[in-house]
Amino acid sequence: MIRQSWLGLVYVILAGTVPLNGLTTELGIEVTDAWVREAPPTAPVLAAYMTIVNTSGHVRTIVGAESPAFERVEIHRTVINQGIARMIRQERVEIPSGGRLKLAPGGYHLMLMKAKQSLKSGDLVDIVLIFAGGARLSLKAPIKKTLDA
Amino acid sequence: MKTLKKRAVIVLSAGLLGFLVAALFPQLLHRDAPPEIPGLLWPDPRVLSAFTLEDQHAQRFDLDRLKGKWTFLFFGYTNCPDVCPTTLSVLASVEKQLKQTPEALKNSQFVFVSVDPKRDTPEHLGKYVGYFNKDFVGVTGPPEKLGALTTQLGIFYLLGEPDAAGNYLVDHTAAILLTDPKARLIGVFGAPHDPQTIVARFRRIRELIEG
Repeated sequence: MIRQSWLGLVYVILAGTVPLNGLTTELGIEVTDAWVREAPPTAPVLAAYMTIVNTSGHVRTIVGAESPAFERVEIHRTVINQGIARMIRQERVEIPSGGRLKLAPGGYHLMLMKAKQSLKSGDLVDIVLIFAGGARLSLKAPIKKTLDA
Repeated sequence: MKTLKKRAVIVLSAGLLGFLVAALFPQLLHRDAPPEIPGLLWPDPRVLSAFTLEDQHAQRFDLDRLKGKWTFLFFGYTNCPDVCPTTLSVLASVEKQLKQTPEALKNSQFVFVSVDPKRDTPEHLGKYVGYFNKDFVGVTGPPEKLGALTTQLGIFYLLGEPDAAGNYLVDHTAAILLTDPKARLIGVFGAPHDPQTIVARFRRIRELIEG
């Protein structure tokens, strides 16, 4: 019993210190087409969208996100059921090995709350995705007016 | 024998006449079948009853503001990061496309009703809708006055529990509604929204009603 929990402790320490250079090879996560919808100056929350691909041989789980430009970032999923739109906070989102997660309008998105400065189309927003195990992935998402013409 | 022949002639003539009428005036046969336009509420569209809200200029927004116009109505709140900005972008796109055929845009308006009057003051609403299109109208009112409109339109909304910082989400109907110049609920367009689809359906509905 004791031996097992010691082993467990060792595993956790190792995972926490996985080096983050060459993110694509270790974490195996690629993020493409990231963008943040430009919102009216009065709107205190914005949404970030992107495509996240897990090219590693393991499941990767996003457990949070941060941005220096916002006070708080949460992962949400818009669900429209019986014509009613609800946003459901996601504590964790799993991406299976070889799988992809698309954050897009009407679905998963990062909810960026309380901007610390005014952001306009063309500005770049720093976002950090936090994975289970402690790995962090930084990306820059441009503010865009809208995806449909 | 003669009577039977006479009867046969009458029956056949009646049949022939009926056939001719149907062939020449097919709409008589299909009188009650509604045209196949997705989202169209026809026949007997519901005539709306009185309600009193306020627009972004603190002007009264009531049933009279719907009369004489084709109105696109969407219900949401400005603290909504995904569905509301996405839908208002779609409506801005719809307006832009309709502009290409001014007849279709004549006497139409786009109204965003906030179901979150606590945070969405008229001034706040004005800045919000103005961002998507300078002619968009932002409307709100206290809960009991909002209810007068949302209930009769079948609009659902539910304010969530505030978190420690006082932030809350709002669940709400995602459909875009359409009322005609007689202030009748004539169309319901469900999510996900696509500008081309809405434009096409609106044009057909308008043609149907206005002839």
